[in-house]
Amino acid sequence: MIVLRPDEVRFGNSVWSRVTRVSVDRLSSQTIDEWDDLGDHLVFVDVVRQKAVIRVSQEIEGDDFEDPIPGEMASLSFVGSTGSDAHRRRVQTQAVVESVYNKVSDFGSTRLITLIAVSDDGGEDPLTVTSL
Amino acid sequence: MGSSYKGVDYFGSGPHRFEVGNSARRLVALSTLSGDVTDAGTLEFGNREVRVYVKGRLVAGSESALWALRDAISAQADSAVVSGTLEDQYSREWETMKLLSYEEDGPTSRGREVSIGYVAEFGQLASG
Repeated sequence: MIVLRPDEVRFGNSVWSRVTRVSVDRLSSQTIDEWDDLGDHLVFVDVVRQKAVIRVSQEIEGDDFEDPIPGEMASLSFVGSTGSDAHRRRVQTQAVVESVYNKVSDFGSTRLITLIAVSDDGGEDPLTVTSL
Repeated sequence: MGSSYKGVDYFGSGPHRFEVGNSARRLVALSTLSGDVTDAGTLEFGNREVRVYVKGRLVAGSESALWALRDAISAQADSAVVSGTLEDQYSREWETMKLLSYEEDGPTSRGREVSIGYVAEFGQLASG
């Protein structure tokens, strides 16, 4: 999932401004692959542990003392925009901040915040997408 | 063509492989029998019993369906259960085999399917 220039990004009580994109990568943390006696090709593959990694890219224009802390957990939401009110969708999840990287240069500064989504009960997809 | 034990397809829910244990003479150190460690040599007492291992994964669509598969196999490891014929996916047969043990090799895996890995050890016991 990729959302470019989301309308609004919230993490807990904070509103993250100037977000250029939010991407969600779905990664396997444990894959089971099995072969049978019948041949050399895989006959069973299942992902039994997975995680959703969310990356938020943000432009930084001035001093900023409100960056999130790794380990911090809160509700993250962002709204995908189509440039109009049509087909707007909100993505919401509980997420834990894994890392915060700042890139500073003479041409501008950006921040990359990486978060990992947390499911309520392990059986449900931690990300929900709702139409607005 | 599927594998079976006593004509029942216990392993077909998921991938599984057959391994045959070692074929060997049964040797006993003479010193073990005599109790005298200075006695050299070994004595031969027939052959080792045949062992066949089935290693695989039981796969089901729900927890209860997986438990049904697990219970069906583990019930065969009961001492009161008689022996039967074990057959692999290529129709190779081992007669008078008993399920000596059924061991799961980790927790239940829950993904698209519910599954669990196992090792089932079959033996052809000299005692029948």
